[in-house]
Amino acid sequence: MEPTKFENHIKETLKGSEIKPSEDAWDKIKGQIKNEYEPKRTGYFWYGIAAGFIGILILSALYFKTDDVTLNQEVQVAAKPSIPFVEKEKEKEELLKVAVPEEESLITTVEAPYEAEEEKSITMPEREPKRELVISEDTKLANAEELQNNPSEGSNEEIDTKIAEVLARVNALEVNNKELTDLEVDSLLRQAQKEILTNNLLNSDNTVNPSTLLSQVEEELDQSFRDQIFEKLKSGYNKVRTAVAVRND
Amino acid sequence: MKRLKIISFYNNEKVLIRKAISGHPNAQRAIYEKFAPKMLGVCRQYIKDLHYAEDVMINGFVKVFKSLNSFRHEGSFEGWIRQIMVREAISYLRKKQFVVFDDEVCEYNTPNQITISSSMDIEYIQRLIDNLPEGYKMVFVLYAIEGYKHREIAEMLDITESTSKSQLFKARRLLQEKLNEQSILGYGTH
Repeated sequence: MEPTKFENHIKETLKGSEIKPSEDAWDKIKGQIKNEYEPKRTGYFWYGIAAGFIGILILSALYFKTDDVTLNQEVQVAAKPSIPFVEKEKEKEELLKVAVPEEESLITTVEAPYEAEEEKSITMPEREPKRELVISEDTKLANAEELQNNPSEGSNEEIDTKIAEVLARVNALEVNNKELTDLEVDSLLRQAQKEILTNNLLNSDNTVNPSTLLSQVEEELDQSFRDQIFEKLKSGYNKVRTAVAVRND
Repeated sequence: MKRLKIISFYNNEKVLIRKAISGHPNAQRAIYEKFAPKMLGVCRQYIKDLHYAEDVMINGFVKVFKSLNSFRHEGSFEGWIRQIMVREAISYLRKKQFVVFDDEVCEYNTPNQITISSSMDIEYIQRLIDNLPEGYKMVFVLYAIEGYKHREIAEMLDITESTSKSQLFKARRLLQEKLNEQSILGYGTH
């Protein structure tokens, strides 16, 4: 059944037939397409918000979890060394109680928990001894300063005599029409302090005060490298001078 | 020069389609403006009432824009839209239960030579087709105007190939009768 001439004619005629649609036809199409596109967009939008929210939740959970873990680790690590540290502190307190008055012991007990808190934040166990040393040095220095600032009642008389000596020196210098600077006065006071400390080194019962001895040693250790060089040069110069003098004799 | 114009048109159509896929309203409007009159003509061939034909065209265009992603640029874009319109019109007619396929077996031996007049205009032809029963009309338009094979028509309308052939035969015979009637009455005098 091949297409007839009539059918070909119809095909040619109707294939090109066009009818103009009504004005609102496009609006109807647009409305239906818009409805089709909008839910998709809002869907993606809400999916995006949901994904973002979940992401924030996960991140916050991870963040807080890691915080907890680190805190636990810190506590676990710090828990072990804290016991010997406290024991050491107690020992130190006992040692200090021999020479240090009650006020000082109060200060050290107040400082101890603060330092213990500092110790908690230490996470590396290798560094612990170092830190302990530093902290103990600090406490010792603090105690030494306390010693310097608040000497025992027994040495009050000695201090008074030293003060009198310093005042006498100052007066003598002023009498000689020399203008004293603050630095000179400070150096005189330091010298007097040193002398007091060395006197305090030996207790009345001929025993050595360990804390005072320690502070003195530390003071010596704190000498700068330059001072040490200067001292060496000075001693070398003296040796050479004495050698030349002996040869000349 | 001619080839260049064709290439530029092809490219423009591709750009237009791509923009329409991304939801660009102007591109969608441009596609509609370009093909709507032709597609309403296609729908009108199947559906006598112009308002219903337009509704079918609107639904067809909505499907076109929704399924633009599936267009692979293998055939012509117009042919693809036309196919959607034809299927939409068939679907409409079947939903409304206008279509009754007569399974009566016909004798195809007698040739159906329809005498034609060159002065037959579109309106007259359309009127002739409109007066055919829906089942005859559908197969006739699909075969004679759209160029589908009986196998394809059978698939589209969910009928057998022989039913499609008998529908076409009956449509031709009916048209012949109508044309004969018109020639007796005097075509062109109305």
